[in-house]
Amino acid sequence: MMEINLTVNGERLTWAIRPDASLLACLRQNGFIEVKSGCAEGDCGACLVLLDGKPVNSCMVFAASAQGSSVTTVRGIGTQRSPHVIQESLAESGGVQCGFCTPGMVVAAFALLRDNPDPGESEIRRALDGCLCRCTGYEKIVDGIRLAAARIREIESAAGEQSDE
Amino acid sequence: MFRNLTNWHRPSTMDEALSLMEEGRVVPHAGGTSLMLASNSSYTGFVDLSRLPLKEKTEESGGYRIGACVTLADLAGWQALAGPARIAAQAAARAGSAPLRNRITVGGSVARPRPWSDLPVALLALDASIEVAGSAAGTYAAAAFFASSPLDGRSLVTAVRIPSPSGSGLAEGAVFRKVARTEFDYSLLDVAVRLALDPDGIVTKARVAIGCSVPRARRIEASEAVLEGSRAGPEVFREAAAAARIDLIDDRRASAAYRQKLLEIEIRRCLEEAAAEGGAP
Repeated sequence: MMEINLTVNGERLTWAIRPDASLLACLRQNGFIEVKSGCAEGDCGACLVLLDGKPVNSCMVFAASAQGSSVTTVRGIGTQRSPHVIQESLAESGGVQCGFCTPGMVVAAFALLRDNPDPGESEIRRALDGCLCRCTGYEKIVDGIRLAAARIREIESAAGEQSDE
Repeated sequence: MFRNLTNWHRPSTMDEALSLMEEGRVVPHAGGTSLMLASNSSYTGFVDLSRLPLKEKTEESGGYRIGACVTLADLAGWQALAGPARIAAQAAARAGSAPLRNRITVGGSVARPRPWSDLPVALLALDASIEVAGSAAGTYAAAAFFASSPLDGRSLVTAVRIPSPSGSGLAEGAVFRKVARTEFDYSLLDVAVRLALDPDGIVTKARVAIGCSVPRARRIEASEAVLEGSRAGPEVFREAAAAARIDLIDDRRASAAYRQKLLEIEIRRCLEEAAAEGGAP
């Protein structure tokens, strides 16, 4: 066993872990069950988290390598009580069916829209290339992310106008 | 699973990292994506390379040097890569998925190449070389490195070097192509070609490399031999593609016969594009 320190959704934590434990396993053991375990081999993207701001498959990350890092799970982006625009837009667009892939999709979409506020359809699809939806509801997921992008741009331009006044 | 793994080392110098590996049964960890899918009960420790200065990308007079811990996402977005070297970025951009590219490293793609690795194919076409530290220290041509890895458990890949075009005024063109059923599926076939043409359109240098339909990425010397010294054109390209006759993987993704057809078509097309890019008359 070994100890690591890391930050998850802004909370500083110390975990005792096995050196070969995955970040996914440690997150779930410590209550972050919003991070889903799908294939556990880097194919499905259900376990996506932001690791120091970048989307990664947490099943493919040794927790020990996350020492000193900052992790954001989907709950760090938005919760049921206080959903993020991406989550609202996905729900409204019918982009959530069984919901199992949604946490990963939201994390991937969040990273995309942070870096590229106005992505085209192919850019959205490329950003989601590591996320599989087993309900195959990709069209509505893409619609939802496009809707979220438009809403975020609107909110930000309104905020920009306010600060100009 | 690594049942007997007890140590996670975080060395801050290369010497320290190499001396940890001296013990044997202690292996390097860069992005961890290949290790995570492995299972080995003899490993006792991992050497985390993240504190070593292996994340640098530098443009040098002779070309480019890419540190072993540079991620594929980072390489894919490197705007400094110009000319034929662009295909290294294109191959990196097509490997795995967006989240995997944030973890997979250049060094790992070279040190533990998988049959589906996309980067080695581009490196072969570019005459890249691999820098190694430790007991097998040296700089190895990519073709020799991939044919028979010099890594002996006490050595580390530290960087990949890509030479710039010769600067002799020759026009060079290079093309990388990945054929897969979906954006994220394993590649059925990767092809990378590079052509240098003299002002008369004679091919002075040809590189044809393939991957993903073979256990290890490799050059196809028979195709290169057809091209070198010949005038670039559809006939020669067809002949070079037809010369690519090697044992191909035959599995549930595609039969060897199908891959052979694919191979000939894609090599021909890549050569045509590379010649057009190189300004063939």
